[in-house]
Amino acid sequence: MLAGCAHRPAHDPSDPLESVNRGIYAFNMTADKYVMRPVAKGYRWAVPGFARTGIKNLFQNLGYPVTIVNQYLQGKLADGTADLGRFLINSTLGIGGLVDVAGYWGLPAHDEDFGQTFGRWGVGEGWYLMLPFLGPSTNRDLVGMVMDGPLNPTYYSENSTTIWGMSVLNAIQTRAQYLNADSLLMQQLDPYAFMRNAYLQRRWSAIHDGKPPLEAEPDFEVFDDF
Amino acid sequence: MKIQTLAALLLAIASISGVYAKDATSSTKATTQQASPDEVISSVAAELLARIKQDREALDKDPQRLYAMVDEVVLPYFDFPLMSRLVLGPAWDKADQAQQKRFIDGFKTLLIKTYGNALLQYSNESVSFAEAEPGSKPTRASVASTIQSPGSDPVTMHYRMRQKDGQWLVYDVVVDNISLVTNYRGTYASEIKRAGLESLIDKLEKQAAG
Repeated sequence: MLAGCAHRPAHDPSDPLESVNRGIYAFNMTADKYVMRPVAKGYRWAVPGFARTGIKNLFQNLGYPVTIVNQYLQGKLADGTADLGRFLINSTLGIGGLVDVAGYWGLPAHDEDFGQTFGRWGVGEGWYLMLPFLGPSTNRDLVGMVMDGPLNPTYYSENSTTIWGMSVLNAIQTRAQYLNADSLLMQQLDPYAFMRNAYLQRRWSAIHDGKPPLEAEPDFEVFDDF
Repeated sequence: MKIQTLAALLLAIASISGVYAKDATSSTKATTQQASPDEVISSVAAELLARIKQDREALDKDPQRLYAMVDEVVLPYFDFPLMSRLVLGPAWDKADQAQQKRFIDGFKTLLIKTYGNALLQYSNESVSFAEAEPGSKPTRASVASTIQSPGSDPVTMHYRMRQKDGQWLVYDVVVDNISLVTNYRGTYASEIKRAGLESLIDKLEKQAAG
C-alpha cells in the first residue's frame, strides 16, 4: 500500500522554505517563551493531576470522530468500530469524555487523522512547513488538518466564546504535556532542525501505527575494531 | 504423632526454601554478567530513580554531581562509540582517530547532561517496563518502557540494544517514536555540510564544557 510513496528519510528532509520557516520558528519560540510556556507552567502548577488528566481526556474525546472516520478510511474496520465504541462509552458513561472508562475496560486510545490517511494512501509529506502559532506541519498534514476541523464537535458551536475558550484551553493543556521535553530541545545545536526531524519521524511512525518499516541497520559487528 | 509429622513437614519446607534461596542468590550473581536486555534496563532505571530520590536537593543544586552520578550508573550499559559512529554516518569514516575520539567524548557528555536534566524533571510519574522484543538478529533487542504522568498521554521509550561480548548495551533511545540517533544524525549532517566536521566537534566540546 505504501509502495512508491514520496517519502524522504527524516535525516534528509525536503525543506525548500527553510529560511521562511526559520523566521516563523523564531517568532513561535519568542511567543512560547513569553506567553505559552509560562501559562502552561502555571496550568501545571495550579491544576491538580487528576483534573489535568480529565481535561486531556475531554479534548481527546472531542477529537475522536476524526480518529474513527480515518480508521475506516484506512480500511481498519475493526479498529474503527472499537474506536466508535470507545467514543460512545466515554461520551456517556465517561461524562462527556472526562473519564476514560473505555480505557479501563481495555479499549486503548488511538490517534488517526486525514494527514495519516493520506500517508497511508501513498501521498508523500511534500514540504516541511512551520506554521505561525501552530508549529510544525507539512503540505500533506496541513491539508489534512483543514479537513479534520469539521469532524470536531466544537466546530459547530454557535457561541464564539465557547470556541475560543475551548481552543485556548486545549492549546494550554497540550503545551503543558510537552514541558518536560523543553530541556531536550534547548540543548540542541540547532533546535529548528531537531524539531523538524522529530516531527517527521513521529508522523512517519504514526502513519504506520507506531511500527514503521525499520531502516536497514548497519552490521555493527564489523565496527568492533576500535 | 501429628506434631512430629508437622515438624518434619516444616523442616522439609525450610530446607527446600533454603535451597531455593541459595539458588536465587547464585542466579542473581550469574545475571550481573549475562543480564537479559530487560533486566539491564529495569535495573539501571531503578538505580537512577533511587539515587535521585536519595539526594534530589543536592543533585538539583549541583549539576556536576548529577552528571557524574548519571555517568557512573549508565556508562557500563551504553555503547557510546557505536552511537557516535551511527550519528556521524559517512562522516565517521572521513574523520581521523583523534577527531573520532573527541566526538565520542563530546557526544557522551552532551547525552549525559541532557538525560540527567530530563531525569530531574520526573517526580511522581509511574514507569513500567515490558519484556524485551527480539531484533533483526539474535544479538539485537529492544526494550519498551512506558512513563505515565498525570495530565499527559503515556510516553513510550524504546531502548535499542545489541549484545557485545555477552553484555547487552544500549545504542539508541527512541522516545515516543523519535530515535535520538536519527535525530542527532540529521542535525549534525547539516552542520557538517555547512561548516565541516571540525566546527561541529568544536561546538560540541563547547556545549559539553558549558
